[in-house]
Amino acid sequence: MELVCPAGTPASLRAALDAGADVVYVGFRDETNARNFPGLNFSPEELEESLKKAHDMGRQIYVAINTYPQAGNLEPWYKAVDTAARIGVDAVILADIGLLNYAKRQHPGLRRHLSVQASASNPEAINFYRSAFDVQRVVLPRVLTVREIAELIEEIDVETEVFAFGGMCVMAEGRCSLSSYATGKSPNMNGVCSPASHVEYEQRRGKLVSKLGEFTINSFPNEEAAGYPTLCKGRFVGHTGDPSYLFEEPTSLNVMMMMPELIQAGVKALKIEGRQRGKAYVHQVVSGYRKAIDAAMKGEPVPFMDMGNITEGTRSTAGAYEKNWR
Amino acid sequence: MSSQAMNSRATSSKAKLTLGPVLYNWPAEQRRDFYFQIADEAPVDVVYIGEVTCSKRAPFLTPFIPEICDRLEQAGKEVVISTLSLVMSKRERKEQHELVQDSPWALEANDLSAIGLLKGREHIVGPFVNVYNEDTLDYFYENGAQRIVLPCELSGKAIERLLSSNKGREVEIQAFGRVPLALSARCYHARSHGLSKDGCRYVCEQDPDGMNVETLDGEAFLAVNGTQTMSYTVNNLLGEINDLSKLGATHFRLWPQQVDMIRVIEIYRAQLDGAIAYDAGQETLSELVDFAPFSNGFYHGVEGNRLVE
Amino acid sequence: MYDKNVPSRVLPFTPMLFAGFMMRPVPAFSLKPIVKHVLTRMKKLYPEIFSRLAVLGNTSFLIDPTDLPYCFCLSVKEGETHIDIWDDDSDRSGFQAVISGPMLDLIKLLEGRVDGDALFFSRTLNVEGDTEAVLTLRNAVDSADVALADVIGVPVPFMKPGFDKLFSKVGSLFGNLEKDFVTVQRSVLHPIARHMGEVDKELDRSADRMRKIDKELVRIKTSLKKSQQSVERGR
Repeated sequence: MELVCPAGTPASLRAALDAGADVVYVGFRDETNARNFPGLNFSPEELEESLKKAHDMGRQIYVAINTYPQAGNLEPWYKAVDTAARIGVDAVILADIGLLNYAKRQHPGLRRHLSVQASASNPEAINFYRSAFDVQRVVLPRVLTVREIAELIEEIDVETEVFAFGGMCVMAEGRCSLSSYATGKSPNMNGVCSPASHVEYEQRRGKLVSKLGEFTINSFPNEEAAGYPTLCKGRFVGHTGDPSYLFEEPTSLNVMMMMPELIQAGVKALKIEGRQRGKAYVHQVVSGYRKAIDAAMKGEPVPFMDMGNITEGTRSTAGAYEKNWR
Repeated sequence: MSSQAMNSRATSSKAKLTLGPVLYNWPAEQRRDFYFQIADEAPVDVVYIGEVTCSKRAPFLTPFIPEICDRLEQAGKEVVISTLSLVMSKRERKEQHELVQDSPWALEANDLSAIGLLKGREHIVGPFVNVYNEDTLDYFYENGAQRIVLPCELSGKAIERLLSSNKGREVEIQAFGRVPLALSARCYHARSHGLSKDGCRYVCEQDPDGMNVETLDGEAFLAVNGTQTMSYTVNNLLGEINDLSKLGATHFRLWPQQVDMIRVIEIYRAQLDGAIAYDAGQETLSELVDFAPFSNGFYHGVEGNRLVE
Repeated sequence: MYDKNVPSRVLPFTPMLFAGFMMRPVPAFSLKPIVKHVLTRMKKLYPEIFSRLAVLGNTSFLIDPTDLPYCFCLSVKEGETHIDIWDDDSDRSGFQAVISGPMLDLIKLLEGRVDGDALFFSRTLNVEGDTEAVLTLRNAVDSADVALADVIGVPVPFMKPGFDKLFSKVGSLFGNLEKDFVTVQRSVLHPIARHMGEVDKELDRSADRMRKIDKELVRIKTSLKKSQQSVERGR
């Protein structure tokens, strides 16, 4: 079982490697990746240096180029793929059909993974990407139960990578325009969801109110744990007339306790979300998962590790991996 | 090729109107009556039909489909069956396989699984498939697409760029109705009623235009339609369709809502034909659509919920 | 954006708060050389932070350790970073963003020993104003492995050597004291918090009632409009 860990900066990358990551995934400092946040990500030079360090330790680096190239402005995405190939990264993670096609044509030797942003949720879709673009691995969308994952793996001849920890999309990834509806910026086009540039926090009578664009997303009474101002994790009013978490509570995904089932299902890699998080987060989560995987692979019980302090709303869930989540 | 492009420009007033599949859980009989009325009265060229949102709703509509399609075809409409947008379970996959194998009607693929199954066969790429640039557009045409419906969040600028490279092939733009913004494995209708998706009691039927979602400040924001999240506002490109048509858009999609859709279709047709002044058309539309305000923000490259005059 | 007359929240009861009381007689301007020296050292040791900050153009942050009588003004002007220290009662207008929290947590954040989002989720850290700028600052700082001991390791011009040792000793002493202080804080604040909670609930109930009335109003207006329309159609 491979442990694939996030890094938004070279310091986080070092933290991930030190904590026992098999692979670190990163993005370039522009709109070509789905964590296009200010002050984050890697320059080509930083990537080159980091890759050397990782390879010296016998580890790997994947590069996410997983937004959708803009009509009439394909160059930045082509360039990102070319740069990743030139530097010699271990794989690129892509979502767009046109870009997959480009990468296959221009760099046939460069390993291609299908990003979660492509939302390939069934064998037919995955086999299409396999036969058309020769993808070697698919990152599964966070919509399937563990049982469905196990069944799916039997019908494909591509490696699977699943999300294990961190931020959790409740919508099918890569098929959500909620952010651009509220802010004009979307994950697919701009690599951001509920972007900080459109977020405002206000103190109202001792409550922390978060606003996205012109919409109020949440209001946290003092002492209540807060979450990101992601609009699918806000408090809204539906048919009952009472405010509630209509889509999902502020919570983080954590499947540590399901590790034996995921191994049983034949999953090839576990992915930690959070390129936008600090290196303290990276170190804590990666260390925890390293221990858990090592234990589970030996058939030992997975030790309980409290991740409460770093989760959204200080809560976690196994999300869609359990059927009752739906 | 250039003659084709010129041809599409010369015949721009002949841009076609399409009626998207009903995204909401309308009772099957109501859907049948709705389509019969469309067949008899609406100046619409293409009608899409099928359950796109939730496979649990499909069994109710399926028995009526042949009858509805016959009636529409007799009325001279092009009929297209739309496939499910989020395919996960074994049952959903099996049903999709059967549809691809047996359907006597053209298919609109709303998931990459359907695109894969339809490879090499003529089909339509639906609005739930990501087409953001000319390379992807080209790939899908090569794969067998006869027409491609563009995703909702594309700006006019991006659409223009895509239309300049479609080489006279068919491109469809979402022009009217609440816009489907997101899909999920979870059912928010059921959740808001304290139910799970499996035991949902089909509560989505209570909101035939979607369930309004307000912010804590009481501001209307979104609409929930089962597993789908829609815009609260009603997308309306009446003012933009003639420009788009000149740029080479061949089809304009109107999503069914619980309003007088015949009148809505007539207004759009009249606007394309230059038979009605924009202001008059807009005024009538405003009277017809009384449940939510209009928006066209996506087209203008700003927040999708906004209306740019 | 930031009104100094209205305390936005209760100060956290920490050892630093105590230290803050003791430091009241020391005016901020006498600490300026130390603060500026720290920045100069940081620029030398961790250039990557400042190259990531440069994208901000012109932005001023107010960083307010809530348990100290000072606040820091960190500003980026034409790509160059400056810092200043002010007394808490100085004019605070003109900042794009305000970050406030207990001093020890701010130091942990600077050293990357704690995740900024985690501090925010737990409400330890408070952020107001330009969220994007705050995020840029956080990401920039996190991109280096800052060690404060290295930064102040070199003798500060007018301080005797050994300051760093003293600092780390005081730091660990504070760390130990922190737990006890939290316990005391709970017992001191409990009755007040309960009372405030009641007040808040009452206000919430009022807000709720207002919302329902608003809704009812919209409903009445709509049905009025509809009945008017049907009257007109009837004519």
